[in-house]
Amino acid sequence: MSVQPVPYADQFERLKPALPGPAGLRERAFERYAAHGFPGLKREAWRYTKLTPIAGAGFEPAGESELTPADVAAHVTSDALTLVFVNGRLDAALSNVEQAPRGVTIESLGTALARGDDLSDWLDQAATDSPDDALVALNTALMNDGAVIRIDDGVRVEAPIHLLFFAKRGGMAQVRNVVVAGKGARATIFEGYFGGAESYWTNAVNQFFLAPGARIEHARQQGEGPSAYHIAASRVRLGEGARFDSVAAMLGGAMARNETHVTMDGTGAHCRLAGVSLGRGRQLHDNLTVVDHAVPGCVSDQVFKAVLDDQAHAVFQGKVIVRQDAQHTDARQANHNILLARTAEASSKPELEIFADDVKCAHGATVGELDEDMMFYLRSRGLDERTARALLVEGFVVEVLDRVASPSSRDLLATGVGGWLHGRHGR
Amino acid sequence: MLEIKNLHANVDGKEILKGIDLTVNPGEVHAIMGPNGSGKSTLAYVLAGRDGYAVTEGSVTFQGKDLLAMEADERAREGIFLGFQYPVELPGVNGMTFLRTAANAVRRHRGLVELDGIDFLKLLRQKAALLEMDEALLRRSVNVGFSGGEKKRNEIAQMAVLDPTLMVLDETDSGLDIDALKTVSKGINALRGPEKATVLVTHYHRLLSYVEPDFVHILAKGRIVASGGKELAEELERDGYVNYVPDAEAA
Ligand SMILES: Nc1ncnc2c1ncn2[C@@H]1O[C@H](COP(=O)(O)OP(=O)(O)O)[C@@H](O)[C@H]1O
Ligand SMILES: [Mg+2]
Repeated sequence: MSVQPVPYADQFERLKPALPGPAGLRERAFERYAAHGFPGLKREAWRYTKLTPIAGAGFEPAGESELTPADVAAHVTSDALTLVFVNGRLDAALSNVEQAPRGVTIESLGTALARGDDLSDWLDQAATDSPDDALVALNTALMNDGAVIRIDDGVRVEAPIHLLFFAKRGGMAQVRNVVVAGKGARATIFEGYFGGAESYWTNAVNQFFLAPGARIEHARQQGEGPSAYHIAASRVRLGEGARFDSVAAMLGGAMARNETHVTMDGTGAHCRLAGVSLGRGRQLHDNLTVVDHAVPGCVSDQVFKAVLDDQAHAVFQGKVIVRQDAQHTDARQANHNILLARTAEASSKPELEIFADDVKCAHGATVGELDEDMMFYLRSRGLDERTARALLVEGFVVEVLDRVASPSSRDLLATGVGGWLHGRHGR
Repeated sequence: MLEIKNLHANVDGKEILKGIDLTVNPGEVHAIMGPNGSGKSTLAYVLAGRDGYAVTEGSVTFQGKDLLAMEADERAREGIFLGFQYPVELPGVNGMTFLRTAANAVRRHRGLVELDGIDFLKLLRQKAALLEMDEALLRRSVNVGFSGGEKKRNEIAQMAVLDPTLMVLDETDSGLDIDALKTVSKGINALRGPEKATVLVTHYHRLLSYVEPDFVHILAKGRIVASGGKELAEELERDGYVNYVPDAEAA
């Protein structure tokens, strides 16, 4: 009997001897992946994103490529603790984490695994959190590098931690980032993806483990090249009173997915998820969130916005689960979309599964053009149509960026967003 | 300066303005009064060039040019300012950026040099002080979270920065307490001059004791039914609109 092998089986066979870390973990993950294969459009969570181009392309690991400090200068902030990855692998020469304070280690996954660190408990959690997510499983099988950040109890990392991923010359990068924050620990983490014109695939999995009282401020910029496929899945677990604030800007890529699952494990946990997608051409930006209120007294607050031009398409699927025990949950969700062209499209699918009775849940979604009253107000002050539009779009987006407390993260996101706005709606 | 002849306008296919004639010369202040729904805001919007207000007949000339051929932003750059009855909130749009962009668009059109950040700030501070406005308000998103009175002051502050030739103020007095009314009136009066003109749209007499009109017109059901001097406003204050609009209750 001849069986069509699953995509990437060949790559896994060839690559696994050289991949760092426990082989058993990878084998088990690959089996899970192979059992499901690439999710098709029939899977509700994937109904807008056709993965056949990635499955069919059979990307090989992106080769070695050198970047100079000048190549990355636009994205590097001097006061940050920075890890730079090129084609999915650490570039130690471009990285700088020497100023990291005591009580925090910031290193590459490759380094930690090669040293023989047993990260299995953390890495395996991805399977527990996403038992039937094939692409997370494939990432576990093929992951070669990423960042591992461990912060001891009570340690506050004042300097922002920047993780910068650059793609050169095509191929695939299987990125795994793991953040383990101890009790009451605090840090700001910026995650940025940038690339050239070639076709390539970034498959990134983030795992955030926040112990009680820990607080992470996370910002992410998806600024991939115009022919890139970007699939990202973040799994966040929040202990008692922990807080996770995240703002994600989706700017680049031909097709990009940003999936975030948050599980409240301890009472009084708090998460704020925000996202802004700016699409043009034929870009697809697919956002999916799952917030699981498993315990009482937690707060979740989500705002996702999109501005879409040409034939761009943005998706927001947001599921909020409030379990039976999760009394006094406060869960809010909003999704607002502005279409700058009649051919652009926004799909909005809120989903609330509420099993507790004493809860506050609110959600709202809008899709529309720029507000006529606002346009007329601006034009009645002498602004031409193009400038008025640019100001309104910027204002719409700024409301999301204003959620970023860290100045360095905000500046990076604002620069990326500004580039998009002025590329098309410049003054 | 402004010459309106036999102006008819439709909104949503319904005729709202039914033949308006009005001439405004430099230096003059005209008050347009009338009961709710008589078409005052419609007239103001038609002058400012709002989309959806279709002129079906008549003409409007502003400083010798065909006003109706211009887009709203061109009219503003040519020197027309509309103070909104309900100023619009612009979430996320910074007040300073907005106003500086507007001021420079107007200045470019008039052949004046554009203001840099520092010069603009100086100008803005001066105007904010005139209107007794907290400068911090102007750094926030335009009109967002402003009280009714703050919004109206903000309209006049914007007007002061843009320095228009023709001010069209739609119910600028509504929702103002007496102190705010005095401040706003002071702001309007400071912008008057022999080369400039003002059209005050209101249905109360109050504002007119602070900004004295040279002419008062009564608009009813889309037509100007009476014109006179400021004594007409006093008569309205006393008797209401009953003499002009038979079915109107005393305002
Ligand atoms: N956008 C609109 N759509 C339909 N009718 C309108 C609209 N705006 C105003 N109208 C109608 O036009 C008439 C005049 O309104 P308006 O000019 O606002 O009067 P005023 O300012 O004198 O109170 C009213 O009958 C009002 O209902
Ligand atoms: Mg009105």
